[in-house]
Parts: sequence; structure tokens; C-alpha cells
Amino acid sequence: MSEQWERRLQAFHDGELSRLGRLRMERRLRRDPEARQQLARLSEIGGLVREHEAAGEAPDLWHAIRAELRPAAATAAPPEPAPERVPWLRWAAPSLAAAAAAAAIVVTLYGGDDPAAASLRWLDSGGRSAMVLQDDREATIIWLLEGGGRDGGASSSTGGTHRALI
Amino acid sequence: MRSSRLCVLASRVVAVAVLSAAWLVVAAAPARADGAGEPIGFEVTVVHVSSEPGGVAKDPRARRIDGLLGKKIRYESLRVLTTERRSVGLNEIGSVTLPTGQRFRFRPIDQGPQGVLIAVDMDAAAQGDFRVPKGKPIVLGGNAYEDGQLVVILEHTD
Repeated sequence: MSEQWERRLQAFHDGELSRLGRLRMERRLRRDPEARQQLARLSEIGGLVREHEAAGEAPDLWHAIRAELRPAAATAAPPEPAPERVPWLRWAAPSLAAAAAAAAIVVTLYGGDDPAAASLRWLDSGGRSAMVLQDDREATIIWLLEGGGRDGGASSSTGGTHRALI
Repeated sequence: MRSSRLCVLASRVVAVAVLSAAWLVVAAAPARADGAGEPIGFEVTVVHVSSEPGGVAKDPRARRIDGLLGKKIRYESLRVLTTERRSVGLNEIGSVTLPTGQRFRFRPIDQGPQGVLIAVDMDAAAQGDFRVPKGKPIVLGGNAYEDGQLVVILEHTD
């Protein structure tokens, strides 16, 4: 099935098709068992996502974490991709998407920060390790660790011999 | 005949008025689209911390920064290198050249009750977006400089 068809099926599932489009889709569903199967799968996954959201278990990754960017993480296995046939699953699992988009990001939880007061939205340290030491009402403190970087940056100007003071 | 001339004159006046109004609209449009608005005040403080003995400089700025950093970072000396103020409109770029030669640039993207959303870019080191309320500093440290490390503190002032 084409990607366009999958989008239309998704739109049908979400009730976003026009009346004519809906009629066409219903006609196709009547004579295409594979399409019916795919629609059933969409409904099933949608139900799971709604249950998950209702349970309030979705972690607020970015506000609750301390971020550490490691070049080594670039070689880490990316999260298992969503099945090709259900591209919208990528939207339904933002945490997976975030993890995949930032293959260089390793996150560590930090207790005590107030998520509502966090300032950091995103950070790219160019392959260099970085730690969010604090992100609360008082301050946001981010520390770049030695090594790596897009072109060595300041490290090269001093021989890169200084260690992190953390 | 006279009424005909009056009609021509009136139509010319109307045409000039319409053209003037159109010009005003066109001239005013870029200012609105630009959206720079009122300048927002920022303070960029550049600090050097080192594991070499030296203590914390006695000026109030150094003491305040020491109060923030001392709880998180281990160092033996801290001194403020520069403090610069910038007034930057939305989507304009504020820039400060650091002692390492790097440029520290920031661009306020949006302003709301929770503070200013700022895109920050430090050459060859880091980029990021932060939502910064007034008085809450963003501290970016760790770049090697002299015998220690450089710390850049960005704060929304007024």
C-alpha cells in the first residue's frame, strides 16, 4: 500500500476525511480485507496510546532529565523503528522520536529539579559531552565536558589538557 | 464643462489618496512582519574558574555567581572577566566575543509570561533553546581557557 493510501486511511480513522472521501474509503474497506486489517491495527494502537495517556505515565523527558551528550552514543543502537505501515506511530511515541533524532544524547535523570521551572528546551553540543547540572527556578547550569566538539573549539586553543572541574 | 473638470480633479484627488494609503500600508507592513518590538535587556557575564588557588574575587557579581556555581562545580578560584549588556529585539541577534575568540550569540524568539524563549549559539561548542524568566541566569561553562575554564552567564534583565 502506498504512503498516500496510508495517510488517507489514517485520516479516515481520525474522522478527518470529507464525506465523499469517507464513502470512497468505506467502499474500499468493504472489498479489501487487508485495508480492514490495517484499520483494525490503527484502532488498536490508538486505543493503547489513549490508555497510556490516560494513565498519566508519559514521562516529560526533557524537563525531568539531565542531558549528557556523548560521541560514543552515536554508535548506540537506535530505538526500534515503528513499522513502515503505521508511520503515524512516530507521532504517537514522541519519546522514541526524540531518542532517535538525538542519537548522540544520553540522558540521566536528575532528582529535585522542578519541571515547570526548567528553561532548557533543547541542546546540541556538537558531539561533546554536556551535563545539565541544574535547571530550576534559580538557574540553568550546563557544563560542557572536555573532548570532541565540532572543531575542537576552545580546547584546541589551550592544548585541550584541562580536565572538567565537576 | 466645469462639472466635468471638477469630476476629473476629484478623481485625481481620490487616486492620490488611495495611492498614499496603499504606500503607507506597504511601508508599514515590513515593520509589523519584522516583529522586533521593544528591545529586551540582557546581561552577558563571562567568568573564569580554575582549579588553581586564588579564591573568589570580592566584587558582588563574582560572589553571586559563586553562589550559583559553587554548589555544583569544584574550583579554587573565580573571577569575572567581563559583563556586557545588550538590548535585543525579538528575532534580532545579540553577540558577545569571548576571550577564546568564540562568539556567543543569542536570539530572543518569543516573549511570554514564562519569560523569553532564547536561541543560544556558542561557536563550536553548543547550541540550544531556553525559556528564560527575568532574573534567572543561563550558565554555560566548560570551555577551556588559560589555566581553567570559561563560564558564560546569560540573563534576561528588563
